[in-house]
Amino acid sequence: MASVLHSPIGKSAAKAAKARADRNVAYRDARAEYERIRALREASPVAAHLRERRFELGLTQEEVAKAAGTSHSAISRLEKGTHIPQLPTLQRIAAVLDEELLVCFQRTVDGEVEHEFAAVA
Amino acid sequence: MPPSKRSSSSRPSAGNAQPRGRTQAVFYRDKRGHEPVDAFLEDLLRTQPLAVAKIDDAIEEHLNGRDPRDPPPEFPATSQIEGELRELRVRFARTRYRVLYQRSRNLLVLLHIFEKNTGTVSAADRRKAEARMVDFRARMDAIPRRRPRATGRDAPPGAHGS
Repeated sequence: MASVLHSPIGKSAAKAAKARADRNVAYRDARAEYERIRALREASPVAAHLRERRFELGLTQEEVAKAAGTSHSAISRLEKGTHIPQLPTLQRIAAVLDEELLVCFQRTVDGEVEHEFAAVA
Repeated sequence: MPPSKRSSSSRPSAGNAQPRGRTQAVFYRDKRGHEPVDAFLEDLLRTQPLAVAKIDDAIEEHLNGRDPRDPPPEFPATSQIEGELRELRVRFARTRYRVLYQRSRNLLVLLHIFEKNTGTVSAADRRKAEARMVDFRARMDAIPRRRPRATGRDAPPGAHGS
């Protein structure tokens, strides 16, 4: 019996992703959330990072607010990119998300950009 | 601001062999018709649909729709493994995934995917991706190319069926 010859080029990743979205609701919802996060990243990278991290850890805004000792509205505004809290609050939020907050100092020396990271605490 | 992935390049062409169009990520398919990266994602979909969404989103954002003449997406989105072999780096919650891929004209061939638990990509994972790319190229070269059919004034007499 003659064997079937397959092209080494498989299906496109975009086509496979569309098929997954058509049959899996959780996947489809997550793709929509990542699209929103991507759009948010243009306006506020900090907000986008925190929203993405909270989403992936399966935490609600209320849970993060309670654990970080701040209000739900503060987290909500932070994730919309309309408000950046003070550094100690941001540091507590980062800790709830199992991360550490660092600040980056940037300077230009002889045309070369240098970065230096420092912990907030 | 990061450069737009759809920015049009005004760079001069490096020659006639330059691919046209935009990059497209495709799965490597073996001789039996199996697509290992897609199979991994389908398996993962059953238990971690959000992780698969993140990986597909990263493929869409960083690999699809780019000008093939542009440099590869910068670190930390992707990084070079060896030669033309690169990795797409995806972190979902506390898990890191790596998709090894290589460019072939305007196709970005997704060769291998795995959960990364160590500091560097293992030699075994690298070899697996390299072997698949060797197979991809060999089979592409083995496919006979037909010249485009002549049409219009170049068509041979009777080509339009009279």
